[in-house]
Amino acid sequence: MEDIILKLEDITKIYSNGTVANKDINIEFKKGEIHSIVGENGAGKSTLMKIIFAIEKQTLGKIYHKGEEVHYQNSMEAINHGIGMVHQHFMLIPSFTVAQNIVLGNEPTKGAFIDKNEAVRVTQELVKKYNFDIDVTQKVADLTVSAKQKVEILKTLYRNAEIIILDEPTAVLTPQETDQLFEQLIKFKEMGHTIVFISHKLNEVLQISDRISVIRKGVSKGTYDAKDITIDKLTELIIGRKLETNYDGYRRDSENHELILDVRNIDHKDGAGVEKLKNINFSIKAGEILGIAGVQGNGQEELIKTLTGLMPIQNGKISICGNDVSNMSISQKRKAGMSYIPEDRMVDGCAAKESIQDNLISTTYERDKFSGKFFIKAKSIKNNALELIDRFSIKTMSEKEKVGALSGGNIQKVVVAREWSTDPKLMIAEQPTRGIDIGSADYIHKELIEMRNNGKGILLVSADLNEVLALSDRLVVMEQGEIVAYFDSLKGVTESELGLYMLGVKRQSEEEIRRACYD
Amino acid sequence: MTNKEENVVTKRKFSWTNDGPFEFLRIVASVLVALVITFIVLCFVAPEPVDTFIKLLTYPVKSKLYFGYVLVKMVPLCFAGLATALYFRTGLFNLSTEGVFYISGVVCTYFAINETFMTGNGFLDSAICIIAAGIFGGLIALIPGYLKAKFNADEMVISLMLNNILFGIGYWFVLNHLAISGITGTASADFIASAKLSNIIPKTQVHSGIILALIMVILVYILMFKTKLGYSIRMTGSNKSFARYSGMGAFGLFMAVHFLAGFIGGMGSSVELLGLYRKFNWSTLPGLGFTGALIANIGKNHPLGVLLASFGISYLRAGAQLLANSNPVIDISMISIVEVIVTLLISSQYFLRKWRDKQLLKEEQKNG
Repeated sequence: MEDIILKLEDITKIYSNGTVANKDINIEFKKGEIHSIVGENGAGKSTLMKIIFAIEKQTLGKIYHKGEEVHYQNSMEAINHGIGMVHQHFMLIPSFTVAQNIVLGNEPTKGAFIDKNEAVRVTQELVKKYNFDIDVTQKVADLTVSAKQKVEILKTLYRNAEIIILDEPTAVLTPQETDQLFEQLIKFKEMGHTIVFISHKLNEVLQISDRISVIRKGVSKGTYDAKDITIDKLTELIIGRKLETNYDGYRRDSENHELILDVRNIDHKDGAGVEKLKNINFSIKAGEILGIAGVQGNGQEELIKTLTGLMPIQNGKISICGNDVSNMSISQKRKAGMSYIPEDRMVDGCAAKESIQDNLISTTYERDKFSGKFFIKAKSIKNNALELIDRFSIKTMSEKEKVGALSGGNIQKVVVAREWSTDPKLMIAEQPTRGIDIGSADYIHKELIEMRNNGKGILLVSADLNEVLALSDRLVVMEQGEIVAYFDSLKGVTESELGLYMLGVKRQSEEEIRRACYD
Repeated sequence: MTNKEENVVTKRKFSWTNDGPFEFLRIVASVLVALVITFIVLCFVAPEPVDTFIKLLTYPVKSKLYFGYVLVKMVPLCFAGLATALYFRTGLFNLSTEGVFYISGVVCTYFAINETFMTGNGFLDSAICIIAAGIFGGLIALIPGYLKAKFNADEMVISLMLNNILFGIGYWFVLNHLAISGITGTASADFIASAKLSNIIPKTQVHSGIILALIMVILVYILMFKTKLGYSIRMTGSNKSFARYSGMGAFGLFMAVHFLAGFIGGMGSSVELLGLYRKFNWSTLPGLGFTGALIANIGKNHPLGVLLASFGISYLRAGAQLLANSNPVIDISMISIVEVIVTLLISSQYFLRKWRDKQLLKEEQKNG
């Protein structure tokens, strides 16, 4: 029998707001293998890793370490039992040296003091043993990103980690650095370490893994030998039933074709002077959905914040229905016809501790329907809530229930219902279905199409290519703060083609990109 | 498209784990815990702990005079609690009610000892003093309000420093402009009789200020839950980014809340002075503003909660004071231990949560 080092049995995690992040997950990790966990954003990979590393506690299920059931109370205990984790965001102290960072929390001492020389000696030995190329006396602040990642890995090795969890390690690396990391990982494997590799880059996963476990919507979809599985099969497992990629049956031509949104020459520099947006131009007419595709962090956030007024505009011009709204406040823009489904529903989209009915009027409470000069109209606020709860199938006991007590999908429906109820001209939908169940996602997609049919202009920003491809009438691709491609129809556009633009491999000519504007 | 069966709005069954009843249970449990600890403390400081404990709890209801004492002490706590609850509800940790109490008291005194402002009509004269103190308190509170709204300055630090500044200015004004020569100390001249609030229950100290306090509770309730301003106060306090995203302007809101809270603070101070005092003789900060933070916290920033909390704290304090009067051996400051424990337990999110989770799990299992 092979050596099982870590076994997860029927792991279920339900967050207190009712979100089921993991359900009955069974995975076995063998000693000396590279085992990848793949799944979509929000599928429950991170939650599962947090449970293994004892940052979160499972609601049900058991974890066996070397055949023994374990209940780690905190990650310190997990570390002491040979589990190490390299987080996506590094947890290093920049002003300390590499050696200091590695021994931090477990320093060699001489009497009551930290033995600095010993720390340097021990870490140098470690670097040599695992054949790293790093100077332990350097300050972490002076290191490159990939070197910082090495320090993180060394930290786990210093604490004798037998199982090393790497959360999306290649997301921050160049292809060459990735190759180097992979060489190192294979070396660890040969030395008997178990590597748990989390990623959604399937090529890499197939290249490096011995075995692959798939998680979809919190449920494990089996473990496969990497050599026996193809990328197509893996994709199907990850996405499950293909999200409805064709909403054409729902599309109707709108009678209205006025120009809704016109964006010209938008630039944005962040506090450090880095260009986040470079000369962005596009327009949207009534009755169409313009999609923005791109890897997250390529300027989409800055663009949305500038458009909505959450961030002041630095350069350029924004018009809604012919009115210059460039320097308007959020409320002025909303009055001009803008509405906005924000990316993070818990931060911007709702007040979790307040009732559904109060959440449903936050953008409309000053209208005559809901308030007079001083007082609010309790009756029409309640009726509004009952109507919207019914119209959007929000599952709840009462309109007075706190929004935070709803499931993620229903919270998102509250947000969409509110923004819909403002009767906007322009709807900005930012990741409108991220992290919610397929049923609610499908419902929201259909609502967006319905709004489009009724003559609204919709800007859809999403990191989910399926979503963008399924909903958009026209599409731009953003990369490094620029629009690098424009498609006036999605007929025949494939994901892989978009991928090339998203990764900056290909780029259209200026004239082609310019077509994103209606002149 | 809509499935009516699925989202029929049904009434939820009563259960102790529901938000409302659970909160009630927690408060009762907090008070019980605090009382047990009081008893333990009494075992150390009092020769007859059981007897003393019973006295502490029953003294205030022993006579009309004593109960009146509870009501009278409750009035300023209620005002200060309302003012602070307004700040807290907006998500502002502003503690300037303390300083506002002092400086508004000085302003009230300025009017109440000056014949030129007085008409001789009891109602009008009290109103003049109270409104003047309220408006001044409101204007003073606009200082941290403006700094917060305009520069996002930390309102807690500013308000704490402001308290000392206000005390300094107020004290200087009392010494140089209100204190009468020939009398030692720092007292002002006597308030003019028509400015004083009248007694409403004979043989007690209870004055008409308590009616004003009740009216303010109702007004603040209406403000918070029935008006547009109240709606934006609640949303901003609950989630500031959400309010911003929704397009609510923070500047006007912060200014309005500060003015109103300052006004209530100023009112509270003048009501206290005109109801209970013959002249202004505060030579330190009265401490009432800080108690307001305690009251707001126990009352969950809800006006009715504030009313109950101010009654409860006043009851405890009156009990301790009366006990100390009858038995000088016992130090009344030990009652502050009880106040602190109650506040701690009520404001701690985790108290009794394990119990609630267990009950919820049991329910789940019963329902399958």
